[in-house]
Amino acid sequence: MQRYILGRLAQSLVSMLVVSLVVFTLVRLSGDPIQIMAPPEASDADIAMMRAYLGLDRPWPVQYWTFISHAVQGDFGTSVRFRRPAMELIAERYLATLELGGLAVLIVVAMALPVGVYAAVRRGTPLDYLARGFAALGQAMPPFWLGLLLVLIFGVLLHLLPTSGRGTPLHVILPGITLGWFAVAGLMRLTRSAMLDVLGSEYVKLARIKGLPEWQVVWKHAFKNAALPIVTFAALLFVALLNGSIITETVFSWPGLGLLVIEAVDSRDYPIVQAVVMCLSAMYIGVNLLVDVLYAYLNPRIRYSS
Amino acid sequence: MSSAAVEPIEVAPRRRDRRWPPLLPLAIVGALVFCALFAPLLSPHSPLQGSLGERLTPPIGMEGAKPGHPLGTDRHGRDTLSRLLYGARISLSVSVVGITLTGALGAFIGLLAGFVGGWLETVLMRLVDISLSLPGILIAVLLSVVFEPSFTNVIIVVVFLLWPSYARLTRGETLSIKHQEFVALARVAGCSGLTIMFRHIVPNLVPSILVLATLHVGFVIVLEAALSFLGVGIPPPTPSWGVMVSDGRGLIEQAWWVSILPGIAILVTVLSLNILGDWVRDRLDPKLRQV
Amino acid sequence: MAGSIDRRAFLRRAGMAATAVMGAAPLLTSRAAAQSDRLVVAVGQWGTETPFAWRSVQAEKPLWDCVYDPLILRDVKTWEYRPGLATEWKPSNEMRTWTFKLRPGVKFHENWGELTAEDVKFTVEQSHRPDALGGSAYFFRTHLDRIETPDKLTVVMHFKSRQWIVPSLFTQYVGYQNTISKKYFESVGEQKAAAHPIGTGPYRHVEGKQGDYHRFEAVANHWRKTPAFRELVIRRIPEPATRLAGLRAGEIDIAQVFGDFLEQAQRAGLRVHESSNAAQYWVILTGQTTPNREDFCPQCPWGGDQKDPKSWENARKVRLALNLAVDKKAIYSGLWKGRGGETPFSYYYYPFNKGYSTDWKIPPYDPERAKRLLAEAGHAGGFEVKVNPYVQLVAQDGPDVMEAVALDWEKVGLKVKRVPEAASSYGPKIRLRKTDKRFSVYGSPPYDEPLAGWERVIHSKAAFNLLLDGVFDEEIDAGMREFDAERRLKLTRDLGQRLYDGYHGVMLGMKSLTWAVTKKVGGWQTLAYVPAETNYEHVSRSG
Repeated sequence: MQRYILGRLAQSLVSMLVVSLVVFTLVRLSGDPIQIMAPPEASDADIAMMRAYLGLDRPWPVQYWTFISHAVQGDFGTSVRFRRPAMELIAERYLATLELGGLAVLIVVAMALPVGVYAAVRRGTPLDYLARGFAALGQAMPPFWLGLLLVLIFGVLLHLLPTSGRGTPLHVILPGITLGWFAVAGLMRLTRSAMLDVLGSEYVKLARIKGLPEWQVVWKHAFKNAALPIVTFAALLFVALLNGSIITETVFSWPGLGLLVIEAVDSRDYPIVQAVVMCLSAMYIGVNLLVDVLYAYLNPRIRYSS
Repeated sequence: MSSAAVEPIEVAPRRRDRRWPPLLPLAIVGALVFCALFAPLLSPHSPLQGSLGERLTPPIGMEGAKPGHPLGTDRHGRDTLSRLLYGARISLSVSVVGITLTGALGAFIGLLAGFVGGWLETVLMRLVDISLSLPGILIAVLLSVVFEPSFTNVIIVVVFLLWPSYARLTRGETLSIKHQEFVALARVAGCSGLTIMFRHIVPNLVPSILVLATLHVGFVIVLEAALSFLGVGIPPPTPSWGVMVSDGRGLIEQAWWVSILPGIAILVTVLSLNILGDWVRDRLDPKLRQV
Repeated sequence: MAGSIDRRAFLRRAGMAATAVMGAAPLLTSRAAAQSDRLVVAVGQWGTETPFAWRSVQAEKPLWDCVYDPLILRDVKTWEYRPGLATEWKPSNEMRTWTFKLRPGVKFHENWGELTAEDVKFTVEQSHRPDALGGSAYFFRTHLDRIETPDKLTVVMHFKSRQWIVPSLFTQYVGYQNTISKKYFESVGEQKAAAHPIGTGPYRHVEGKQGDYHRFEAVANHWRKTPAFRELVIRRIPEPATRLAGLRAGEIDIAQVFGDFLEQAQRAGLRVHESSNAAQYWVILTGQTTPNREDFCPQCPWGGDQKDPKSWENARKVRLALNLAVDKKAIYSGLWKGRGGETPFSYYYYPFNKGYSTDWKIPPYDPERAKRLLAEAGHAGGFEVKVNPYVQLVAQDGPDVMEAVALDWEKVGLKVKRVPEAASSYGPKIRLRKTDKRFSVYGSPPYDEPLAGWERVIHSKAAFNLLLDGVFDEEIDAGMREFDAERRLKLTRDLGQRLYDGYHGVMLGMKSLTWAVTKKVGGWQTLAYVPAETNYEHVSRSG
């Protein structure tokens, strides 16, 4: 077990290294931040001076070494645009994105679990179709369009919820729905199939034979056993939603990581783009590692087979 | 959006009664393919030409409608119906081309990983993890900054976002097929590794890949729209549905037809494809749950 | 079984995290509901968000202009100079020395003391820092010799050469001001001073979140103007549809709104505020550069070889044809909703500039004549051009206008290939003259004298190529060296005429800048000719 964990840990570190190389190369291919910041008057000499000041005149391998050797100490450099440590800016925005992603996951779980379980138990009923159709709707609408429709209906016409920005708990509702609805269908499908699997098992049949009430069979016996893949999915989903929040944050002017990073791309703010990608990747890889270790712990066969 | 990467596929109960595909979705998708193929014949106008004088003409039946434009015109006076028809062509071809390439690439990698195993498998599967861990939309934006927005770039983004799903699926399937008796027999019979891979394993992978691909068609259409919103999709004035929805997003009340019509087109298409995908899965019944 | 434990743990943890997060969010309830004493402004972009002149890229002005005072203000209607922080400014030593007398008794916010000559000197001298790329840093670094402060309220700037342009660099809008408190900057450090700027303006910065919003409070009895609204919140909302939704929901009081959104705003009962003649629009016909540049294209139908009179004249005909082919009126009514029009112009020449001629009519819409001219020039069947429909800082509707122009050009036989690229990638290419000969719509900001604009964008050494380079270098240099205002005016006028006659760009018109405002907002005087939000301190209450 220990060897397995160490092995996976090493693999994860290598993965992070590859991620760092990819993002480092991509942002540098994307253009020059100084050309973008420079006002019309700036001369070539000014631009060269600024480039030297930011250390962007050094060869790429040197720049990469600086980036990676500082990054392991948690220092992702100074934002070109804001002249503040990238990590400081990210810390400021992180909470907002967590809030948004957290609510989105809650929405997904709250909608997908009951519907998924219901769909498995009462397969083929009109309500099953209706609920699944509703879930599928979220996948069939471009998220920005859905967001703007929600703003129009709940913000402008009904005056129920704020149209943009962050502040009160009310502010997060529309962006949360916009971000979450897309994923409802996925988790619902998974719940339904996991439940169908378990409902057909000997174990559940036994519970039924024992004459336990149906809700107990479904929720206590069946659902408990179907929960592992569902929880795994929800955890990965959370990270995926954080990754996917760029569009939602743009529509709702939600001051999170997504908006920060999309603008950082626009101004070629290398340190910020690098830091955000590294953080998000680290989260995904970390959760993945955790899930793998957990699975290996629960199911010894995995350890030896892979 | 990037949650598609962790999209699960359920195990469907074998249902013999579903021999025939659901007719309505099938008819819709059939009609779409027809529109896409014959867009030049069906369209009353060029999807690209227009003049400002005719901008935002409402559809027939509304006040101010013009007979030449049954579904009205957009912000540049271009005919909405023609753009929708050509849009079917663009949006479907993004999906089909993108998914075909992704499917081929992802499946090949997964096959290699599953069949060869060992360190190659570890490396390839870590690559899958790395790909999944990168924030997809952000990478899409970066890619389009590097390569400039274009049809090709959207395809690259689709491949980048979806290949891990195919690689994971194929690897899992390959692993289980590899250990089946007929493969062992082929080996005993002296078949080379390559022959076993392509003659014996690949045909057995096709159903699961097909199911995943059907389910992804809708996802790609929505993805393309999302990329348009960020300005990194198919460049206007090319009439993809995504471009149209994004272009008319500020006009929902003033000139609803500009964005609601392509929005409905996307909605109906994606829903139909999902239902069809479910049916294909039921029919082919691949034993897959998590991809 | 282990699964269920995990599920519970997960759900419990998720719930706890969500509660914590919700609770920790700053409860800005007050921000949502715009109260009567609060003015909420939404802007789409605010550049680098820096309050420091030497880093600024001009897009920050809407955010910080109310926190600082310029040395020289402008008349809102005529754009003429008016005393600001400086009550007097005078050249001496043949314009090598400029002396500014400061307004006495001006206080920095939060008791950071009285504004003195030292603060002005300190601010300008930041231009010498190696990381000072923005604002007018280039000018000062190149031309400034030293600054003296003979007394508390006198700033004497010595330049290495004669400079007539100096006052312009200290004016509202064109100049980069933001005179900071030396004491504050030195005691709290640059980062803190950037996050919470201290100025002398009519609004004091209270708090803010970078990239999100900034909150300001009115300064009582301000010499410039005491704001009618006690509190000012400036929010950033990049998506225009969301901005309009905010206005309609009453969460925002003022936001820039243009095109179709204008009609929607009016239909929703919002009032429209207009700042007329705020941006001069033309299409840049790339390729008219000096031979050492990649974009140089004498063989392009619109480029022409200057050494070959026939080719040069044909190219002019083609450019005139490109002008005639565009239905400008359709753009004014369809895209600009009548907020802008056919003010005569030559590039960078504004109605307030001396020597402005009403003869500089924008060529009419005449596709037939355009076709004839194309045929005369030997391009009867048309030719292929590439365009980049992109959002430019001033021409926010650039993609729409470019598409309208492209559609019109196609009607006279041109093949127009759209090759879009965002401003962030394309801007540097204009600078380097590596646009791949793509045309694009440009919206220009005003300069005090057209020469100042031409020196920056028409000269072969200029940073950008927005019209043509190289052909008029001598004339521009002569103008910049001319210190007699009358003679300079004549040089400027003549060059304006020649630029007009050459049809080097496709003249589209002057666009107004438009805002939608809620009922709470009464009158408001924005600076004419300026394509940016200004003067929030002048916003009055209605009724």
